[in-house]
Amino acid sequence: MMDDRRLDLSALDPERDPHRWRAVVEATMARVDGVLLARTRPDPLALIAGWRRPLLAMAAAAVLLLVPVEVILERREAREEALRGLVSVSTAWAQEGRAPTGAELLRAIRTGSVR
Amino acid sequence: MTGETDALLVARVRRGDRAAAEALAQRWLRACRAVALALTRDAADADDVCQDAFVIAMERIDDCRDPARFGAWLLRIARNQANDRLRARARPVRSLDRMEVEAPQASPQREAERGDARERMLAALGQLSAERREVLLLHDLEGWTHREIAERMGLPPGTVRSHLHHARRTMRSLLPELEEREE
Repeated sequence: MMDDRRLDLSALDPERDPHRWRAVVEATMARVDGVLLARTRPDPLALIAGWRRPLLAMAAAAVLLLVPVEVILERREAREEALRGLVSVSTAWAQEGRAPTGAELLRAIRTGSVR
Repeated sequence: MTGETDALLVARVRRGDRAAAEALAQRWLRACRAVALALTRDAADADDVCQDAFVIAMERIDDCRDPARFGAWLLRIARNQANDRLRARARPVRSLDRMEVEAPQASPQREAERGDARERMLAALGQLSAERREVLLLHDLEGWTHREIAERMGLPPGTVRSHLHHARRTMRSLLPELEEREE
């Protein structure tokens, strides 16, 4: 036969001392507030991870844009340098009052035709 | 108290909703304390353990795999916390105190001469297994049904009934002054 008579355990009831129990609940919720605040505040690592993709995309776009510009500028610079070289060689020949040799002429033309 | 299911409240807590966390505390904190009390048999420790367990549950809310069974999950955390506390306080002097309470010759009547009703009751509870203490407190103190206890403790309903029967019988034999009321 099962014992169906309930025991009176009210001496163990936490709300027998309502102030104390309220303090326990309030202290618990105060700590939970900190936990929830941390949940709503973004994690720095997650933030960095979130930024990584757009940063990488921006870097890729910059590379795609800057490389052709750099190539064009470099070509222009090389051409100007070759022209300056040709002018300086021609000036030297004129100052010396002599005609260039075939080899000198060929070298000067080759340098000047760099593209 | 809100009528929302635990699953909905857990989902809201995951979005940082304080009101949902408070609703879960209102719903589960007392049971959490009962479980802690069943293991620690110390009211102050039980208050601390139930508080710690609830905060841990909120911290790890994303790990709650079955939000509909939030209560059972929380009670597991409370059991672990209570056991940790028991291990931490297992110092020689303290354990002698505990032995005095648990020893059969330290009768509840003798305790009655020294302490109040709560202390007598806690001493008598010391004569039960932890599982029986938990069943008794959840049923007779928290008013849970056999089915609720069985589900939330992961026990067969027959075992719950049997634990309750033996726990009551032992408590009555130790504390004859316990008031009884019909269910």
